[in-house]
Amino acid sequence: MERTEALPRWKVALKNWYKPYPWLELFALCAAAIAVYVGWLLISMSIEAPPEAAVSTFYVSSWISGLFLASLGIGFIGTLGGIGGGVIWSPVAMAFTPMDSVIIRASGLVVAMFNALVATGPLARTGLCNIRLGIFLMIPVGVGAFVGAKSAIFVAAAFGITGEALVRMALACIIFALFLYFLLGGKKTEYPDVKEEDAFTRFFDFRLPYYEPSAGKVIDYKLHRGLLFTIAVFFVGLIGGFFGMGGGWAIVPALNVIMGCPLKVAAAVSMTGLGMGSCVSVWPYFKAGAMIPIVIAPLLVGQVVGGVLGAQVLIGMKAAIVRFILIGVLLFTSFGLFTKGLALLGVVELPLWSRLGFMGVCIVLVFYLIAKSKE
Amino acid sequence: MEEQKMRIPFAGIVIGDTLYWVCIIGALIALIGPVVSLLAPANNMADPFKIFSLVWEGKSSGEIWAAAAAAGQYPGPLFWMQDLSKGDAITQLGVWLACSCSLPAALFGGIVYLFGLGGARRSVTYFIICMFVAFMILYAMLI
Amino acid sequence: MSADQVCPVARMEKLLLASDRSEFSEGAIREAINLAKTCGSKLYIMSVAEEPDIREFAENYPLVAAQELEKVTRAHLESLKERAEKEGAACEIIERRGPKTHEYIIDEAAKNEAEMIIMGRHGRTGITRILMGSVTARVIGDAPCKVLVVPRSAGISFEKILISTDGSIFSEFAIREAISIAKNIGSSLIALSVYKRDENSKAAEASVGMVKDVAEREGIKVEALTLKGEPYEVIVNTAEEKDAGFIVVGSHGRTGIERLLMGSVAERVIGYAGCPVLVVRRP
Repeated sequence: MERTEALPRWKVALKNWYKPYPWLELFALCAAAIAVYVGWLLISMSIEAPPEAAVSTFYVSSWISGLFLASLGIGFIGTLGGIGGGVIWSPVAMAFTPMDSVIIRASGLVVAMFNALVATGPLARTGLCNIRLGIFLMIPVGVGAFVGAKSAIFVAAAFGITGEALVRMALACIIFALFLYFLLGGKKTEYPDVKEEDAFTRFFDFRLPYYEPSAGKVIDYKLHRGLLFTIAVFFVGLIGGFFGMGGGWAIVPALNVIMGCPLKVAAAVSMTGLGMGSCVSVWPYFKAGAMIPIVIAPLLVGQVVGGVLGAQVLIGMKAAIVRFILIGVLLFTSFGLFTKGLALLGVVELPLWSRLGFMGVCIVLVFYLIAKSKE
Repeated sequence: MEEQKMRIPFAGIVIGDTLYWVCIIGALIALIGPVVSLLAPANNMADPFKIFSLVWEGKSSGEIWAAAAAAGQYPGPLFWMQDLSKGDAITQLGVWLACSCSLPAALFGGIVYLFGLGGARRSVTYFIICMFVAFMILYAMLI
Repeated sequence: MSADQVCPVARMEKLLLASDRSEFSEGAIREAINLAKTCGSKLYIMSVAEEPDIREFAENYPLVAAQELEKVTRAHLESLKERAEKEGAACEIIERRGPKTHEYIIDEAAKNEAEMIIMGRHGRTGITRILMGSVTARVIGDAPCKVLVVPRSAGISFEKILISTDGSIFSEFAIREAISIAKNIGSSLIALSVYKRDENSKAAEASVGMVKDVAEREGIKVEALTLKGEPYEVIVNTAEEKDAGFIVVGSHGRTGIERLLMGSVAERVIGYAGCPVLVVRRP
């Protein structure tokens, strides 16, 4: 009965999509995007490529539309699974595709950035978005990510193949840590109880009460341990900028656990801060030529469209299964990254059966998680 | 009712709306760019027919630009300023616009904080922070 | 529409109305307010904002959509409260949010010691080819008390109550409830037992006879019927023909796969009936 209900509710949500989200321009953009990427794809079948081109126009168009769809898909799955597309994109591409890691990381940064960025506008009007905290957050995130990005370019230029291998292996460890974190679940409290502000937070005047409809009242919250938070966020930004991943998975718990921010506000602030902060960190990749316009453009549009549609359509859906699948993907990706790193170093080339075997392990894990949650 | 008693920060609205609109306009331009690129493939900084195969082969960015660019090298992060009639210059304009949306947002936000516009509480601290943010972005972009 | 002056159920201090903000809850809302007024019960009005659990989300939580949903839920609850208070019923609103709607309903019913849960038959999707919404089905399966399922446009009348029995222990509690209600209001009962195969007709007659005896001893007018056919079909058709105000059924009360939640007969009766159905579970 679950299955038959989920589909109609989705359809109903789609029928009513224009009602709760009164941002006409976004939907115009979405419609235009779909028209272009689908329509152009069809048209390009009949367009002749110039004589010296090795591939057809259709091939190029299908790459463009394919990237758009991939980005859209990541935006959806990220929202649905609650883990975020930015964490998945870069590691998966680095583990399983032959593309250059700097280009992958540049694209990962774009993927991680725009989903949040376009949501900030509507969010600021709900009052949830503590803009002062968001702007403040942007500084350690931006600086950290900028340093990370610059280091990434430097490592790639200076260390060549060895660098590529080491980067992948380092990322493997981080992804494995993330896998454990998502598996075991963090300790997040919806409304932390903070007794006193400290000097840091009072100086920056972070307090911003907001109206919580479900409680029917205005919630005023205090924050503390601002300095510790800032330092932690710098390192999160560093990792995000270096590996081309989003940082929301770390910033939300940091806000919640370290600073004592209510979860909804933490989510809103994280989106704002990361979206804005990434505007600083993309530039090293731009300078190095890793942001190839025709490659980045469909990814960008895909994230904007995916983020908008995703949040609306997916609000009522039960997403536990997607979450478990993503956790399984994380595990498998960390394995893939590690083995690829080893292969690049020339240490060892693992045979196919070992990869398939590990994939089997991951699938078993996913099923186990699903079964456990159904009890 | 209580909801009306609570003030939604004007600075937040200004910043949010600026980010939102610049992002959308950038995305729209980036949407059209690749189509223009393919309609006139000779009129591009980098040959769109070579790029994807090169990317998939794992070539680094330097190698890709060397092989695909008409000039034989990367024309720099702001090449759309050089010649906007080229297809991928249009694309890059869109991408650039969307990626630097925080700059105007920070500037407008700073002005709101400095003058206490629209009911926002005047705050020199945040004006300075906004200006620092704008400076960070410009520094990253230009240096 | 019920215009009774007497409360049908002997002890009903607290009622829980669960609304999903769709038009399918309209019948339940109407009857809940009426019952609360008549019985002088406290009416708990509850609605769930079905948003994902924010603690599970690392990033990309659909905040704007969630805020909108909560606002809509709250507005709905406030309007229901106004409506109830205008009719003179004492009420309290409960808003919950999260993905596990049926769990919250059951939880609130238990927490507030409600004697009855009143809810609509279908959910917001309104796909009427499914017998009933999954939330309703799951609430019935696990409810700590009686559940009254009210179709959208139906009203309750207590003049004639149809009680169906299959001779099992689950029917017994339903029978007791039906008799108690009939005694309080002075309604008449229709005791019905349906058999599929001819060799079971004697057993069916016997179980109906038992109900008749008990009812007449309590001074209730009873019409005893033993009919052959597909159980749920006969029950629903009989209720219609005889103009029964509502139907009382027993529930197996087992948790697990939904088809077994209450037995397929009870499920189908609820699904096809044109009048409200009271599901009584084994306490």
